[in-house]
Amino acid sequence: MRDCPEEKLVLLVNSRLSGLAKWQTERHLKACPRCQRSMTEITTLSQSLLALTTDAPRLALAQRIVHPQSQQSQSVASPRKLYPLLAPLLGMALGLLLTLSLKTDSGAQAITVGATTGLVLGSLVGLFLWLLKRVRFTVILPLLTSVLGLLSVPLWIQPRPSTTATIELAHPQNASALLDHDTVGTLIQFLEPPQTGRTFSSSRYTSWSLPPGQEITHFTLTGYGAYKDDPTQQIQRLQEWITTLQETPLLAKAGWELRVIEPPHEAVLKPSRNQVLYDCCMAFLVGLIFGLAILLLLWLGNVLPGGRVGCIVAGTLVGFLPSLSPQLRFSARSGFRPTVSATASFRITALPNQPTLNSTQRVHLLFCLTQQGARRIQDYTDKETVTLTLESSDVAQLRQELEKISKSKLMQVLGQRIEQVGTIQTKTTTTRPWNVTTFWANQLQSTFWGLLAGLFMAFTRRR
Amino acid sequence: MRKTSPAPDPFACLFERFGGEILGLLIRLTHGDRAEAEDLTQETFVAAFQGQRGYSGRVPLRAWLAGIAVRRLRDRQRRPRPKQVVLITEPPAPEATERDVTQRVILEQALAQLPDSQQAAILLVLVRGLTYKEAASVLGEPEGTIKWRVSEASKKLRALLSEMENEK
Repeated sequence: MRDCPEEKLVLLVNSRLSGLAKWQTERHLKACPRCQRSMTEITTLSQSLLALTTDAPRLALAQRIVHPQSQQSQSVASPRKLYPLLAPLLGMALGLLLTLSLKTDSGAQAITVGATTGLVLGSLVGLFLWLLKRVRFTVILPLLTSVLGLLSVPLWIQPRPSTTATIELAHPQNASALLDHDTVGTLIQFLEPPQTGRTFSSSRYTSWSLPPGQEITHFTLTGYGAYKDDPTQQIQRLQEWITTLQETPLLAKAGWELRVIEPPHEAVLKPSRNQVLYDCCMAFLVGLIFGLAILLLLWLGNVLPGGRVGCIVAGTLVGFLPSLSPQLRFSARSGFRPTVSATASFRITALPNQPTLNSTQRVHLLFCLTQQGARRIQDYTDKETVTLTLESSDVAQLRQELEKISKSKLMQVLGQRIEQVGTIQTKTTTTRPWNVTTFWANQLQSTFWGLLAGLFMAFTRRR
Repeated sequence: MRKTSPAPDPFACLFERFGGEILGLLIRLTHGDRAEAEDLTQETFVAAFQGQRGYSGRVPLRAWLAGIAVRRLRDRQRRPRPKQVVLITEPPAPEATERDVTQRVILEQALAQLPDSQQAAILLVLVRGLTYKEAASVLGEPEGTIKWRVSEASKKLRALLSEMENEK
């Protein structure tokens, strides 16, 4: 008979076959009388040999063997048992050392923070070592990385000193709906002076006391970071922002009434509860994924063929794959990156009996009318014409965006007319994204990470 | 008050269950040197008990213990020391019948006639339940060699057993 699996019969006798191999062998065994005979012989032989090679230990041997537990009980206070307890202390000492070496100005507070952080991290390591002896490693590792992720949340969610102001914009009953809440929000953002370092939020509400159809929107303008050590300058910037909003005719023209509720003042920017919750969930998830990724690498290290060399080669190859993407191959050949830009000029003129906008106002207006990310005004020295360039990788989208501008009904509300001058000019330019060294560093970055993963797999391999 | 019986000692249970098998295996592998086999059995069980956390449960306990025992034996064989060979034929159990005794003696002789390498291979794979791969790792030989040795030894011993069956 073909393919009589005698080797597998030996394993089947000792229940060392599993899965598909077991099923196949058992199926074959049912149909093959020769293998059935072999199986009986092997089983008899196995039992006979087991009986033959089993010797009753003499009493002296049983008494001679020193019970390992009695050895353990003698070493209750061995240093090995104390490792988990030492870890928090060691962590605290390291935290203290680190804080002292940083020479911060905040003195005692910094030392307390350093010591506490060290103590917490050390306790975690101790807990990890303790759990490692009791719970499976595959459970502990993702749990630990998730907890570490959670613990890192306070590092980036912190109350920040800032300056803030609140303005109120009331929408009158019969005002045009064209300059709606969202457009006003965009307008406010684009009228922001440079270097405000702002964060921007708005809340809209209607009240029973307001006439029907009227609504009031509160905008909170907050600045932080740009003038960290000089809140006065920050307050001045916010004030400039509010003044610009008050002076622009665009809001008044669309019927929005602006009122300052809270003038710019110093405040502490606290993260909202939802933000904290979201960040905690994300940190936990990222930590969990990181832990699982390590487990995956540990597992792959043991199953990849070719031993340590196989692991390193596989890791490097997988890391190298992203550099074969078409965009990177193009960059690899030329060292340049292509960009598509579309340029159009617009003439903005006032309708009869309507105020003429100045050049800055025209620019702001154009910015309000397009939401394209990469944009720049090329020329607005002419009193009426503004040239706008948008950049992207999709020409069709750029054309659509530019055509939308001249069709906007917002201009009628503001008493202005906008018309496109000439045609839309598109151009593909290549820009040098990086110098040669940086280029290759970027190119090889993923390969390096792959190599690192390969080395990790290779050196954590069991055999 | 009801007296509760003390919990069974896991080490004693382990030794009671597998002590004889491991000792028997080691006696064969040390060519009948019972003293050395006993030493090795002691080392094996202490090592097994101390390293019990490393036991994943995927391998049968018998195979795991046999692996430890053979590794200990190999470690000891690497150390240079004068080898004392003591041939011992264990007296059969009193309740064994005459036919059992005869069969046992014949099988014992047949096993003794096998080359050491085949003896070790068949005892580990067929009797102690190691896979070919595990036995190859323990004995430091290629997996294919182990398969061949088990097959050869098995053929010889099975032929002998079937002869004995026919004579019955």
